Amino acid sequence: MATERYSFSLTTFSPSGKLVQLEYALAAVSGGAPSVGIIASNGVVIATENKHKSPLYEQHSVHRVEMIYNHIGMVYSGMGPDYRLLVKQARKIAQTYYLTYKEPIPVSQLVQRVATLMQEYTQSGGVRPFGVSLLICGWDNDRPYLYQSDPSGAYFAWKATAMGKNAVNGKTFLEKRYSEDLELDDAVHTAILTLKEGFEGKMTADNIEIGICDQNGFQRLDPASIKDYLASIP
Amino acid sequence: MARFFDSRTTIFSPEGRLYQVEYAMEAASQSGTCVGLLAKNGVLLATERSVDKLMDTSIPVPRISWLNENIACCATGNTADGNVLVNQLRMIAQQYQFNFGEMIPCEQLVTNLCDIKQAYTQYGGKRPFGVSFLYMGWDCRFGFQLYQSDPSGNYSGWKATCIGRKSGAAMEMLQKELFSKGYVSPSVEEAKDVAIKVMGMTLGRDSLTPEKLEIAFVQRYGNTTVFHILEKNEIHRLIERNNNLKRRVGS
Repeated sequence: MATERYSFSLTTFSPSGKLVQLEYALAAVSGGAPSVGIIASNGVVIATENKHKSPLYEQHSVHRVEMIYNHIGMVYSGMGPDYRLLVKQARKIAQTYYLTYKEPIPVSQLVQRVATLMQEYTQSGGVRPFGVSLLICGWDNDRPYLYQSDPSGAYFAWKATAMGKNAVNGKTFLEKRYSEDLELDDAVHTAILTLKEGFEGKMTADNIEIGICDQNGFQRLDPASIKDYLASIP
Repeated sequence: MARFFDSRTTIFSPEGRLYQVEYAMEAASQSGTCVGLLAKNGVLLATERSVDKLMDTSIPVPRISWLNENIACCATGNTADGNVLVNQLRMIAQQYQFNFGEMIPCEQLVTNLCDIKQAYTQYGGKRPFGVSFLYMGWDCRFGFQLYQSDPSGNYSGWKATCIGRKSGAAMEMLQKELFSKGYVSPSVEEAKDVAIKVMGMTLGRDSLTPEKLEIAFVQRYGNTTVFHILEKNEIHRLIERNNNLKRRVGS
């Protein structure tokens, strides 16, 4: 019965031609924790805020930066539970690709397929769109990639970008700071500085998360190395 | 009550309207303009692209997509919906080639996709796709062709047409450019100039830059259809030529 009742699109056009559900989903994204991505000459970095409300919380138990495949990583702004589903699907997409073609999935292919999935949730019966925007970073073809995928299923390739709360300030900051010949280390610094714009409270290795990707693959930085980066920032 | 009729896609309102389809058309008419021109020796599409300083320009994101060796299209409206339909179009084209061992005729490809679009206005209660298309192509029976299709599943063939933002004003301009002295099929070179002129109007002349334009056309050489995408410097040259013309007319 319930399935019958909701077998129509919940995301429908408003008289002005807008998909209002998508705009609300984007509002959920821009209210979410900020995240940043920057391409460097020899790699790419993604970073995000991971604040906890209570000191009793076990830090580093739930991650926002996730590995999708050896050479691909992902982070999000928006709703955590929706993200978990997308991470799972993205990993499945990557593995399916590998089983079919016996080679690792190119970043652009993964992005395209994840975006298609997100589009399906804007049109299928009885579902709402995902309340997340993703930053997907990766390395293949001897070069770094950085993509953003929105709830609508639209995706963009960036040199550097910011999403979530304060995204506008973050982007203006990046426009000023970005240069093509940035080294990965410098890019990590710039990412931290971008997060610092509008960061409330003191930034520590326990309330931000960073992932880097270069020719050796993707890795999430451990708190100790984040601490080193933070130490070199005034 | 009105709300009841406009969020279900599959039922008529008392006045006999399908609101979701109308709203979807609205969605398609609000984003990036795309102009199409049929020439005697080819077909041309021109469209605007969004520009952002932080975008990674080393990764091409073409707005005009090749569907098979003979046909290309450009979508305006909801980007993600557009991607889904471009995939469908490519699938239809390949399926035809596999079944019949020859290229799909242009109109058949367009019809096939429009059947899908139509289905979304009648079955299942899903919302329609918020995209309009321009298709340019060549087939052995009818030569060069230019088609347009909209979210309702309607399609039509054109000498020159425009979809997206300010398409109304652009259509008037096209009519003035091509029909004021009686219609003579333009050459591709002439079509380029008309396209630049129209895009100059829809974008506002100051923001008419090579970065903001994507222009592609189809021609035939011997037995093969060839797609050209204009290089930045070529577009720059066309814009300059357009500006000079305007100045001369002005003085």
